Amino acid sequence: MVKKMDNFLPLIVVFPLIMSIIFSYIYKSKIVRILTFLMALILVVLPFFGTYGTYFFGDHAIALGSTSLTSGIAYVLNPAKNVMVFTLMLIGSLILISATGEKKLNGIFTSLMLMGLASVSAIIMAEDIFNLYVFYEIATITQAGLVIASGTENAYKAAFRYLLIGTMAGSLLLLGIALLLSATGTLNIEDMRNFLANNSATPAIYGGLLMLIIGLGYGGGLPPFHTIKADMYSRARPFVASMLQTYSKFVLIALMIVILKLFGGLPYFNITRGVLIALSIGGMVFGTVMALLQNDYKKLLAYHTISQGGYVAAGLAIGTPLGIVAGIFHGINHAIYKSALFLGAHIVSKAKSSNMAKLGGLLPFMPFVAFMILCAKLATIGIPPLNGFQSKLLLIDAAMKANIPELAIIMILVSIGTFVYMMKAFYLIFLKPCSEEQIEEYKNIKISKYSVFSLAILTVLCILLGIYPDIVVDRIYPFAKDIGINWALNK
Amino acid sequence: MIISKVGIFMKYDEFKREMEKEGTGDSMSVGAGLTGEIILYGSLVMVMFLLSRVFSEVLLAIVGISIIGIGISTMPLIFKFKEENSNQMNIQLFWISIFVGVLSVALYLAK
Amino acid sequence: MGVLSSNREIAVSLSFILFGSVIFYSIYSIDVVEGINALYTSTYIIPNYVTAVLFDWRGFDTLGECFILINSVLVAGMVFGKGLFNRGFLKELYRDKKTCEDMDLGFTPIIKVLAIPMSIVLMLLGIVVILGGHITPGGGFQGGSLIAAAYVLAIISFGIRKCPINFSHKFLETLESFGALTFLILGLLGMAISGYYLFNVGEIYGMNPFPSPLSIAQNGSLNVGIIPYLNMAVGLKVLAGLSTITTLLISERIIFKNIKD
Repeated sequence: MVKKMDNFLPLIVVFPLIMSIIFSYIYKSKIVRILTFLMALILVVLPFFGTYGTYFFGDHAIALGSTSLTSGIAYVLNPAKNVMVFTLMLIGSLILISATGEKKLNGIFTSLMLMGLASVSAIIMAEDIFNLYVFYEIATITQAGLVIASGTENAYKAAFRYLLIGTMAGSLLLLGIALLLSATGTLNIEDMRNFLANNSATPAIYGGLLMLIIGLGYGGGLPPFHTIKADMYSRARPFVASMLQTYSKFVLIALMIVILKLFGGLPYFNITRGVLIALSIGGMVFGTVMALLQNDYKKLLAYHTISQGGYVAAGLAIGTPLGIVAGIFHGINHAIYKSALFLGAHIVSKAKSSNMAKLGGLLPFMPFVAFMILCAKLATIGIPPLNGFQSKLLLIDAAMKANIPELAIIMILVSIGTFVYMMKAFYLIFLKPCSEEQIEEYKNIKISKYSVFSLAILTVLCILLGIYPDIVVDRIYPFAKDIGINWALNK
Repeated sequence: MIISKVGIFMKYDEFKREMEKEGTGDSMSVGAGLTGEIILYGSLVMVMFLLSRVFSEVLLAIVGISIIGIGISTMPLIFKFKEENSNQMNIQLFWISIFVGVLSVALYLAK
Repeated sequence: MGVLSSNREIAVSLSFILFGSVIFYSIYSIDVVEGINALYTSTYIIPNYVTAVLFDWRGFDTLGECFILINSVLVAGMVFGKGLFNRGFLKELYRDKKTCEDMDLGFTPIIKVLAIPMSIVLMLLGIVVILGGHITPGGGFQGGSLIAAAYVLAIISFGIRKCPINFSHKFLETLESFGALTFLILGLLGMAISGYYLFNVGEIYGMNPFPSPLSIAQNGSLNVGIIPYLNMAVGLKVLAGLSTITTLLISERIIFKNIKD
């Protein structure tokens, strides 16, 4: 009876969950700090526990008899998903490491972080649409909790608003899943895809698609949900915001992949593709224009996150293999350099405030940090040899190959806008001349070594992926080829 | 010149004044604001091109771009845009409800 | 502004009409495909189909749903000041309040006399529902909610200080963590034995994990596996979670305790 355990894939989800229960129980204890540090180290190796292939929970594999459907919950791990989970866990680990430098670290925070990591990695790996929904809900509540953790009035407001809209979007998503279940008779994504490909569409299927897109917009921060998301990012502590944006970026990618997988090759998907491209253009343009108008560094970064989310969505919405590769790669890159930027904002906000008008002249006091922040900024603008350049190049290539040069031009326009506000922020924070008393204030700044360490690792990754993008792209490509379809706008 | 007194054209004179009202009147912020304005209008033009190409309507492109051209020469869009993207719950809910309506029309009626 | 807002109202109502009719149309024209349900209703794991789906076929979903509750309780605790990075806002809100008093809703003795027996009966019913989850309609969620409801009934009628049924906050926390950990570790047990997480373990070294009398099995197998234990874990967690939220909502004492240090 006793078989050999060969696949530890569930541990990627279950181990952080177990630890999160323990952390929430001992939240006041003194060992929380050291345990958090240990947990951060374990998280990095966790993604390598799973072996590639399909994993069936409770040994409920493909049912015998007349139906050839999967009877239980299945998870799929492939190189592309493994890269995503690894990026997620790595960023989570670095954020936990920089959190150990915080004065008021407590177990509740670590517990919520771990729950979020577990649920987002489950969303990435889940091949079962209801399981995906369950973890989507956990991720929503976790994000609200992480915002509340900063404890200011505005954080409370932002989190409640996020939860309020989340109730609406979450229940609509659940309704959509119910409609899809009733119309196809299965929850497994692969089975559902086969069913949809072989049967004509019914109104229930359209309803399911509609609700999935609403859930996607909320989970990924596409318009019109972008103001709520941006508010949340700017109200959270900056190093927490870097985790929040990583969560929502991967939720966006995972849900996009689900939609593409289910409907991507179907004749009635064309109009949906148009809607998705429109949403992503909206995300790019609205985010950038709003970021150009901000004076607060945190708010600027928050809207920047929205605009980069638009890029990711655009790549995936194009739906060609190249577009999917570009979208996922840009999502990974974005998670990396954006976390670096938010960590930089965390270090900067220690100096005085995050209002850029009150800062200035910080360069002599933290030259190394300034250099790393500059690297991350150049990466997000898309300057070679940094990782943002590689993925933006792929994105524009994908748009051109699909015969949508307009999309490529909008991407370049938005990049110019990004350049303007990023350089504005850099000038105002680091280069602008400042008064004598401000210099006296700056001398007392204590920069947390943990945060600088995390920032350094992320910067190294930015440069590494910029020079060797194939590390990631080669792993994503077979997966993208599987779900993408080749098409071009022929008019 | 006469027209500008009537107040139809040349609203861009007020651009800096409008930004100063919000305490962001330094040249850097005004430059950033103008960049935002150009990106907004530029992407509108591009979207118009794309739409006319998708629906094969040359007239749509011509009319649309003329309207955008008149718009860019008369009124700054960005302040209105900022207001609509502000953090007020009623505006957010308004756009979300419009979004679900438009989405259902797009997916059901226009298939 | 008035014209603008009334225009907006018309736009919103139009869009809701469209959206609502689309939802109605979708639901109205549902043509249910049997799909995998054919398997769920024909394969006989335990006498109760609902529990079989919840804890055997889709056990991992149930685990996730438990975690939604755990997470909500955690976040609700945070709203009341537990584990925040900065308690300045809450301290400012409660600066003028020196003491916390429990709300007395002024119930008559009739309610107080009736509430306790009723809540005891409800609790017992809840325990029965949890323990019989694998053979009767019911299970951990339902039973746990029953017990929590009984607790809520008692503390609403008496107030949290004078309530005869009084669980301390720490006790509830312990119970909740214990329930959740039990579920997770029972899943790991399945992994150790068969290689699959949340495998419904039928025997551990030849022993039935939950021996039950013959008369229970009507036409299925006697072996319910670890489902009763999973039910108990979920029941503990749900009762503790809902009761924790109630104790948080009912008194300001938690906030005072949290913002003191």
